[in-house]
This record gives sequence, structure tokens and C-alpha cells, in this order.
Amino acid sequence: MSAYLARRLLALAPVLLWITLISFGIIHLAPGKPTDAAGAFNPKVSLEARQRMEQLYGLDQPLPVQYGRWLGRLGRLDFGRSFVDDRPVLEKIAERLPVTLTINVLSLALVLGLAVPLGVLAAVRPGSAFDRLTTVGVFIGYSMPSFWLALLCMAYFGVTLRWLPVSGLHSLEYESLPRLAQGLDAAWHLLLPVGITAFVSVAGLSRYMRSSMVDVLRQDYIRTARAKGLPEPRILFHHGLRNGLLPLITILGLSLPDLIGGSVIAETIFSIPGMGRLFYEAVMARDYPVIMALVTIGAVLTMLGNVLADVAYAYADPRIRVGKAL
Amino acid sequence: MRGNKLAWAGAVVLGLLAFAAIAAPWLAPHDPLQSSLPDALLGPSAGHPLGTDQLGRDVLSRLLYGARISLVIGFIAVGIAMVAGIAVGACAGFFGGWVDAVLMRFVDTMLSIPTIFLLLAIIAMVGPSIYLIMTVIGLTSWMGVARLVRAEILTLKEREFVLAARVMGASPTRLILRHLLPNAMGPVLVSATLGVGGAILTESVLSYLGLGVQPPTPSWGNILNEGRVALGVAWWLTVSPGLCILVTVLAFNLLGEGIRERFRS
Repeated sequence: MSAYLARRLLALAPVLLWITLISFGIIHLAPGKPTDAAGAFNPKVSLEARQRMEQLYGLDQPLPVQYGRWLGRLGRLDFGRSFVDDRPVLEKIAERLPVTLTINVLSLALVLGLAVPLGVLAAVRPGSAFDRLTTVGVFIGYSMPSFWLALLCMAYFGVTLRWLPVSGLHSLEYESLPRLAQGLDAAWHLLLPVGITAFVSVAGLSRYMRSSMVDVLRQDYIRTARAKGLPEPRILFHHGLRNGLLPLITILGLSLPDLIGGSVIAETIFSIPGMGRLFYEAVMARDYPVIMALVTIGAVLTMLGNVLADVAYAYADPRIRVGKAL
Repeated sequence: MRGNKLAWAGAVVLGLLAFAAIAAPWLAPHDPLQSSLPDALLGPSAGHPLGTDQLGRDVLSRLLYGARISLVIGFIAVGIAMVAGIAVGACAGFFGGWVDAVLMRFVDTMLSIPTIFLLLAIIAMVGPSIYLIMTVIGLTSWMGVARLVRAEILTLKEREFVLAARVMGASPTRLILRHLLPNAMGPVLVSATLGVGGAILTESVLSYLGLGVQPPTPSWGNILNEGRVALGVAWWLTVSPGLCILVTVLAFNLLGEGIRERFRS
């Protein structure tokens, strides 16, 4: 197992190199120097201050030297300071991360809670009315522009019915509420963002679950279990589901970049101060250090997520372990 | 059979849509760019079947012209993605060795960077233009095709007819273009069809974030974005472009799945 893990991690090195090259390349696409933007957004920045900043970031050096220096600082987890408010980039990201993480974990739980039963139920009787209904639902969900759905839900539940809050994480009087009410208030505010983030993924994932389950239920050992006269629920859950869930691990690992992408959209629509909106704001303000840091961190997290998924798969499925690790 | 019916429905919808986009100048009841402030935010009526926006422009006309932009972006972006994906996948699969290793690690990298990060950063840096948008959407969505083509080529290149061509002295270019790629086109066609829907969705998200097609040129995404401001008083501004996007993407997805089923059987 550890040999397998080591090999997987070693294979990441070239990918990591590409990632840093791309993040570094993006900000040099723009015409002019990165400090132009920092100056333009802050008229108080004098020419001398701008030159000082250029020296600090090494912008007067040739590109390979700049890249090397940036890589060196990256190695020490030093992402520099934001052009907008001069705070350390890592600090800005750290304060936004918990919000995004909470929303994504909750929505992932919701996705699994809905997609797995839907997929299994559809797979039990392929071609049944329920199966056909979910198939149509899946196609619609898959084609849905999620930001549009978010807008409509906001307008209907938030503005017309006034049931749900339309933006932010807390009510205005949040600080003065008792502990329990604070939790309810936060949950209330998270309902729409989490629901919308989950919506599109449910469609895709339930489809995978269905096809995986259909495959499993055709296997010989399921027929054997039936022939032994085991009760149907036991066949379905004990023999079927345990194997049917396996491919889901890989799919979940692959869906990480979409989760991060979804956060950008959901957090922008619902004005939630998370990592996604931080990225959007940074892009709009040309805050290069923040952009570079978020692209790099986002990609590295995804990469690690994929390795984690592979390792989890190897752990859950002994066939992989025996086949590849030894 | 059922899948086929849905695929046909998708094809019919897309046919109608293509017709509407081509015939937009004759079908549109008004000039899509002509604003008329006294007519602002009118509800659906005989003169304006889908109402007017906050500048008094006819929404139906704007949607018809928007269909042109959205479809063109979808097709060209996918065209770029197909060319890039086929080229990378074919080279990786055919040459193998270090070429394969370098190219496929690059594919892994592109897959691990959240697409929206790349799209937003590049478009914001360079400045939004319709050409840049098509190019960037294309260049961030070729990785799936590259993997598909590589896998197809890997299995095909050991087949007898390829070996025969090799023995007869065919050059690598001829082998790839003439013998390998034509036999790998099935899955590519499926993924292209699904890709057009995806590209249209992506353009609408970019427009929604203000980094897509810039006004006054109408695209479904920016009509929706402009309508959002008036969501409380004029729902038709937001509902109709969203429905257009949904139906079109759905049609492409149904057609793509239909083609996939066809190839499988």
C-alpha cells in the first residue's frame, strides 16, 4: 500500500511543475506590467512606490528569474501580499476557506444522500416508469444553467414569498442571537446556496450510480445470491450496493474542480464571502498575487483529491491493491 | 427505441433553432439593438411577444439574434477543442514514450485546474472579446477528447490493417490521418455534440459574470444578465433567455446520447 502511495505521489511532480508554469503564465498574458494595475486602482501610489513594488516582486528581472523566485517563495508557502489591501494572501484565503468548505461539504452530503438512492432505485428495474422519469430529470438537471436556477429561486423564495434570505451568511442581528438561533440563522442562509450547488451534481452522479448498479446487478454473484434464496434487500444492499458504490469514489475525486467552479458562481450570486468570490473579486481588481495563489492552490487541492480518491479506491477494492501495488 | 425518440426530438429542436438563427433578420419583429425608452419593461403583448427590456428593446428579436451568437460560440469553441484534443491525443497515442508522458501530464494538469479559474483570469487579463471567448472555451475543454482519441489509437495501432499499412511504408502522418483517426471518430462525434451544449452553458456563465459577450451585441447569457437587475418587476427578461439556454443544451445532450447509443449497438 505504501509503495503504491509513494508511486502515485511521485507521479504528481511533473503535474505540479505544469501547474506552477500555467499560474505564472496567466498573469503575464496581460498587456503592461502587473504593477500598472495596482497603481491604477490606487491613485495614491506614487511612481517611486511603484518602482519599489516592481523591485520587491522582481518585475524588473527577466521572466525565468521571476519564475524561479516565485517558485522559491511558493516552496516556503509565501504567496506574497494582496495588491488591493496589502494583506498576506495566505491570510486572506485562510479566512475565506472555511465558508467554501462548509458549503461544499454540506452540498456533497446532500448530493450523495439524493443521488445514491435515486440511482439504485432506477437501477433495480431498468426501463420502469421511475427509471424513465429520473432519466428525463437527469437530462434536464444536467442541461440546467445553475446560475439561472439560482436567480429564479432567489426571486421566488426570497423576494416573492419572502421565505428565505437572498444573500450573505447571517442576518443583521446575528451577533445578538442566542447560540441555537445563530446556528438556525446560518443554516437558513445556507439553504439556497447549498441546494443550488448540489442540484446539478445530483443529476450527473445519480446517472453514474444507476449505470454502475445496473452492471453490478447483472453479475454472477448476484444471481448466486438470488439462487441461495437471500431476501431481496440483503442482495441489493449487502452484495450489490457495496460494489456499486466503488466507481463513485473516482467520480467524486474528478468532480472537485467543478465543486470549486460552482463555488465561484454560487458565492457571486448569493454574495457569500468564500474562496470563489475572493477569486472573482481578485480577477476583477487584477490582484495578481491572489489570482496566482488561488489557481495554484485550487489545482493542487484537486490533484491531491484525485490521489486520495485512488488510494481510497485501492483501500475499498482489494483487487486494485493486489494488481497494482505488489 | 425510446432513446432514439428523445434524440430525434433533440435533432428537431436544433434544426428549428438553426433555422431561427439563420432567418433571424426576417423572423425578428423588431431591430434587436433599437432602444425606445417609452416602451421599456413592457410585458408580453401582441407587438412584443416576449416583452421589452429596460431600454425598450424587443426581447424576442434579441433572443433570435442571440441564438446566432450563442450557437456560433458553441460550434467554434468545440471546433477548437476537437482540433486540439485530436492532435494531442493522436500524438500521445501514436508516438508513446516520452511524448505520451509529457502530453498526458499536461492533460492531467489542465484537468486539475478549475476551468472557471482559467477562463475568468485569462478573459479578465486580456479583455473580453467574442473571439477570445470562443478560443478560451475551446482551449479549456479539449482534454476529454485527447484522452478518448489516445485510448482509441492505442487499441487501433496494433490492428492488422494498421500493421499492413506500416509495412507498405506509410508515413506516421498518413497512418494517423488516413488509417487511425477515421476509425476513432465515433466517440469524438459524441463528445463534440455534448461539448456544444457545454460551451453554450459556459458562455452564459461568463456573460452572467460580466466577462462574456459584451453589450450591445445580444447573447443569451448577457440578455439574462441584463434582465437580472429587473427580476422583481420584469420576470420575462430573465425567464426567456434561461429557457432558451436550457432547451438548447438539453437538445444537444439528448442528440449526443442518442448518437452514443447508436454507436454502442
